[in-house]
Amino acid sequence: MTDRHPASAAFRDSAPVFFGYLPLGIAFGVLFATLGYAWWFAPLAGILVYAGSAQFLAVALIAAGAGLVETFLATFLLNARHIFYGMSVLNRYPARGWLRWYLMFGLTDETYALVTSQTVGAPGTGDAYYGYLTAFNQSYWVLGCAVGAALQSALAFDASGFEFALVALFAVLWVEQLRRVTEWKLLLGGVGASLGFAVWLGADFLLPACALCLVVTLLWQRRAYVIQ
Amino acid sequence: MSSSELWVFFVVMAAATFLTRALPFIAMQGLADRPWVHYLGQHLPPLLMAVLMIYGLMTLPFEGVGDGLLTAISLAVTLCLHWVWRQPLLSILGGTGLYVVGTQWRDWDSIERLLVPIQVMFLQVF
Repeated sequence: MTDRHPASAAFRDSAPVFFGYLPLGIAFGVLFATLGYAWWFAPLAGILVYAGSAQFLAVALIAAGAGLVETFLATFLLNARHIFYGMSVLNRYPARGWLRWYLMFGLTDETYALVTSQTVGAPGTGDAYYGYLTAFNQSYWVLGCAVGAALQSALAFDASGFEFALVALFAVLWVEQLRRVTEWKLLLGGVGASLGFAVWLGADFLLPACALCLVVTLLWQRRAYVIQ
Repeated sequence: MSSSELWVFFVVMAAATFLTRALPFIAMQGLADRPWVHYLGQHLPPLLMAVLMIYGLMTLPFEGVGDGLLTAISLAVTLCLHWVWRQPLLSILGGTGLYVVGTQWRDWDSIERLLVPIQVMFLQVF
């Protein structure tokens, strides 16, 4: 359809993300509200950070009183997969202007999936379409965060056990990645060493374990390169 | 953490997140075809996600066999649901729901309360 308005097209295409973001945003909001801060910090996080897994990690980091350097590095590594998303949408997004910056900011897993499911240059998929798509997706997320935190602040129901959502989220992302794993020895070695670090260092293992995984993967790549 | 520290916390997190999304547009155009960048993109994510999963697990209480068992079962349910159905929402809500129910219903008072109607029914039948 060549005559469809970019906003209505983006609204319709973003519907699946609505049903994904709203409940997950609510789960984050509920979990965040148990920390005891004002409820509007949850939607604020959705506006400023706009990264589901990072925001769930934030709840754990805030509860543990993590430092800012640790927060920065853990967030960067957690979201480092986005670097590879950006590489593959370089040719779709506008070369300059404020919209380019907003589209970069809003390149979440789900937005990336929707954007790359459109054929490059297909009718009705211009800059405006990508802009609306990104904005709709973010509005669903912020709405979910606000509803969850406001509900929990108002009703204060027993939210014990909700902290498992963080584990479940990472488990789901992990399963998706396991489907594409080819280097099983590298995976087993890295996970085993990280478990060792976790037992040895306790909750402080996050940064050493991430660094270890990075180094081990690079060494493994060199090894593969030398063998070739 | 005070409210103003929380602002700083979120700004730092926002900066780190934005950096990962903006890097390719700003600086990575020349790096995109390096083999090691490809290799990291392909093989590092499952390692990091396992580390984060372990980190998440360590934030849960482990005070006895019950805690460990509940966590293990909930995690296994999440992994299996997602391996079979591949619906993120179903897997997350299924695993978390099980954990929440397990956590909140484990105190014996509420389990006894649940058993009362069954006992009453039992007595009426016999």
